[in-house]
Amino acid sequence: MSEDLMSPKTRALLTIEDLRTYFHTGDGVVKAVDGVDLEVSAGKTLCVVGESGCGKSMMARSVLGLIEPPGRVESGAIWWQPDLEREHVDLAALDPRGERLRRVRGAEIGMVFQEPIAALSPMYTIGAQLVETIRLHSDLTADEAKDRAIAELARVGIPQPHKRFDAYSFQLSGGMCQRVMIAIALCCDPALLIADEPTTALDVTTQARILDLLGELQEQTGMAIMFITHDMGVVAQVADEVAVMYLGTVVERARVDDIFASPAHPYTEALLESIPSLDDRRKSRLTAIAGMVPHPGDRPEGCGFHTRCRAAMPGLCDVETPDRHQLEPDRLAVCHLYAPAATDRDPLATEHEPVETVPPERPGPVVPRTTAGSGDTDVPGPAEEISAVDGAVGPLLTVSDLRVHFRVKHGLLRRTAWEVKAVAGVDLEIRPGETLGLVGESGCGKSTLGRAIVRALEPTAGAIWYRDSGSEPVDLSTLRGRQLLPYQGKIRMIFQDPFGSLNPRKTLLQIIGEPLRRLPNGVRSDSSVPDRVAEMLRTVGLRPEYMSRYPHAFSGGERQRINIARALITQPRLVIADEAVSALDVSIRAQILNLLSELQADMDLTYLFISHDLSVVRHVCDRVAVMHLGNIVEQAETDRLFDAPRHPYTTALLSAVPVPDPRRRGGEGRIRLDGELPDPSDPPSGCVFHTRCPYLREERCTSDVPVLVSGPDDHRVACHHAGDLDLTRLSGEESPGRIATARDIRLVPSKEM
Amino acid sequence: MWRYVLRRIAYMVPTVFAISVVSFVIIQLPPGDYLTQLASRLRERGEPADQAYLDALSARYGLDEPVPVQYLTWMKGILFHGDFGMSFEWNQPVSALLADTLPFTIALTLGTLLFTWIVAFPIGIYSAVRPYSPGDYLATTIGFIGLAIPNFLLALVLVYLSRLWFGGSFVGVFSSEYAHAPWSVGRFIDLLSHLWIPVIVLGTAGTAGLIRILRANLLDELRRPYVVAGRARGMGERRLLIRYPLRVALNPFVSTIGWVLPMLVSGEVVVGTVLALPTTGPLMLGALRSQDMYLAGSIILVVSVLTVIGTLLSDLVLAWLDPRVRHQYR
Repeated sequence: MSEDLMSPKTRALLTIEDLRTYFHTGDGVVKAVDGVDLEVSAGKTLCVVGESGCGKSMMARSVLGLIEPPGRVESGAIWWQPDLEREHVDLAALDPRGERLRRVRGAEIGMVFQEPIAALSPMYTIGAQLVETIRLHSDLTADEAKDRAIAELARVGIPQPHKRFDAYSFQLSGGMCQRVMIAIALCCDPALLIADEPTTALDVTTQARILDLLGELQEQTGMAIMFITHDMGVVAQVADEVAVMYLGTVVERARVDDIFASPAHPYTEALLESIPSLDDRRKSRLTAIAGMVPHPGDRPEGCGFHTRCRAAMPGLCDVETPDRHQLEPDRLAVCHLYAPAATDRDPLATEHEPVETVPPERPGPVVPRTTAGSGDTDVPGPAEEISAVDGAVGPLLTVSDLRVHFRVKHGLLRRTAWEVKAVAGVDLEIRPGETLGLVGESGCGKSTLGRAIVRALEPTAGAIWYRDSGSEPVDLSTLRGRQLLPYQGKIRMIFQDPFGSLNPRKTLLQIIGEPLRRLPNGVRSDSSVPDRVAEMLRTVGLRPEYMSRYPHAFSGGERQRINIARALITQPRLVIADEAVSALDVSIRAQILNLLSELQADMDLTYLFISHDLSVVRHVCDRVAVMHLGNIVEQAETDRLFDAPRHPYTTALLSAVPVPDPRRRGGEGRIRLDGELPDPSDPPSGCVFHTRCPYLREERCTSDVPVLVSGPDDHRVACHHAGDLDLTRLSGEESPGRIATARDIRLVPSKEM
Repeated sequence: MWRYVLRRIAYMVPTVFAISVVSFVIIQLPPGDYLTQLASRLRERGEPADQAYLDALSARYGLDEPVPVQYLTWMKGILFHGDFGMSFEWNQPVSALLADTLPFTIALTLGTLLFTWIVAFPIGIYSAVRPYSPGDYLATTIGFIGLAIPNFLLALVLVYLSRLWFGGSFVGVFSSEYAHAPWSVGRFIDLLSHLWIPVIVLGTAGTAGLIRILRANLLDELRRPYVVAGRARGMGERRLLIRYPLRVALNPFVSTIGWVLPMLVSGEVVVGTVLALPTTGPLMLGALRSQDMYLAGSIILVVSVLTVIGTLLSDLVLAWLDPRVRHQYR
């Protein structure tokens, strides 16, 4: 980076003062942004974090005047000064449809959005959209603009930019589209890039490469970035400064190291605690933030956070709006904990324990960390784990050589033109009472495998042996129609999308009770179904009175509880959770994960936990299987897999996970996969991973297909060279200088955090 | 792209074949045929039918053959000689009757389509860009009225009103002085002065439907992330609207070519009868009544083929406009 970083005080590029953006709806005024003060310094990265519904995106859109009716910027100022020769402009005072603001958009401030494919028009090639932006803000001719566009595509790391210039957005992957969006945002060399959750919709591996790219581009151009995210891991990787938002206001602002070392605001602290990290000890209970973000329409009195705050002081926090407290020159918190006179103002406060006021020079942990049922009771201890693993109990489900091929029909006669081998011969055992994780990038076939096991999909070949305690194994893959009914109650599924997976026209009673009626000797009498549904609702933490309501009345987290209730009402043995928490906010995710682990102990459940989120998998799973392009490439006990991975793909996945610790950012220990997941309809020869493998060798990799070989401690790996590969080495021969320590790759627990 | 065109044309062949079989079979479904109708009519007039004459007719038109043979004879004539058979009732070749009515029917249909587009396009855009504005409510109200009023009623009202305001008769295609005159400027203007009533009558429902569809589509598209993204990179509102969401929202306009044709043909039967238009609609109605099978079958066949061609055209234009369609069916 430039000298900017060295200078003690950098110039403010963007200064937001008391910004308020309100939506005037039929139900009243919704204060989406309610008094935000922020500063983005030239050349620096400011991360804005908070749960969804906290007004982060609305704040960012207000900067560019992109708020749509019935919303509008009510008051406040947005001072913008791209370079010192120019005078300050108040963007909030400009006409949102006017010429002046249009020149700022795209030319001075670029913006990148969450869903890259949807943010590009499908009707024009990406090249046309890029050229259009370039010509909008410069006097280049069409040919010059095209040359520039191709150069921009090359700069954001798109291979074969000449060819890709004529591609449409729907022909590219999400990661490629996000690169195009970045190219469009940066083609006019803006001084500031606003990135609104740019990696949330992407895979971990893709996310890692996009974050790298943004870092490199920032180094080249010296631009500032306002990076909006809900992922504390990403914050730790990219931020210089952090602003934590809650209910439309900034509750804490600090440098990234301070935020992670000693969060000042209880909300920041709670956010940090609810992330499962790769370092976490397995199966410990996550500290969830109680409740959820209230709708901005009914903002609580006083401090907006007091309803969920562990340190809330009754009589003060629920009455008075807290002031801003400057704790250090570049550190600020909006919380009554830091009001020196807090106790004087409120007579009631004397009855409380004296609040720990933090001296400005060394803010410590604000709130004594309560061990809110920290979970030792309902977690199987080591002894129980061994009993599940030692093989005395046979597997509950054995998948052997399972294949699911999708036939793509083509031409006049609908002949099978090619086959997509979504699952290409998988062997898997699921033991009773365990949680088996299934991880991999999107498109690797993990969801297809899960759906084939519940027989929502017809397997092409292979067997699925299900064995309940004391009964003979049954091969589910041979059963048809009514024969499957008894097992459909035993193996249930929880889906990813909490909004799409519930029929909006049915009540909870109908939704949750429905599987009961489908059972062969199921409960058909109407009297007992409501009782069981009520019981189930109570089990998943919802009130039985909700039974007659429709799904639209519930939030994402509550809907996922409904999904869980529907899955568990038949008292299944095996539950397949397909990305069950991926669509949820951090704090809600922690609540659902805790619920799942409680239910596992209470109802003696076995989980197949499908996820692309490795930190969650590490947290909840006993064993993990890693899938790549329809094959299992590695399978081991969770700690073993995370601490000593033996397949290069596993190490690459692990190193792509952003570590929520700003001290451990930077290049060390990272492996970046080249290229995208290969086309499953035309897989590479030999080891299907060889096109992306940093350890590719001449012998065997391109010719022989590796098989899953069992090693010591039931650690299975499908790699020809697993025995003699030193996975602690970095990306092969090119960079011998950058050798990572075992600590970097294993991401050993750091207790000091 | 060319492979796509060729394949779509290849798909048309079995479709048209199926249509021709079905239309022929449907015509044969009612008991009896043209000759029994003729015999009963003659009996009513008190002239007992000469059995030999009927037999001769039957042999001449091949009515004593089994149905498949009749069909094959009919199709052979169409394919190899352009001969659609004879109309019993008019005692003329069907092709001559079609030549009289079909061009006007096609002209009327195209005129109506054009009218529908020209009216629906700006109103639909206005309604979507300014939703819930007074203008939007006005367009919506008029649109619903247009959808709800039956065609024949609208036709009668318009004929009555035009008589009241402009005087003269607007029924039929030409005023009496031009009815048999050769083509001239005056005759053309006279034609236009008559044509506007059927065009409005036939087009109103389609226009109202299209406004609703365009408004809904455009409203959906305006909320898409790529619109916000376009605005965020500094595009002006008008240019943004025309280049991005409008192009996607155009798809229903193109699709109308396919679905408006059959709708016009069916609506045109009633309107054509009410307004006494020389179109295929009234002709077909009469043919169906008297079981004039070759005439009715030919009209159904021709109209169906035109509809299939219209659908093909709209699909091709759609593929040309929308890269998603183009690249899906490479």
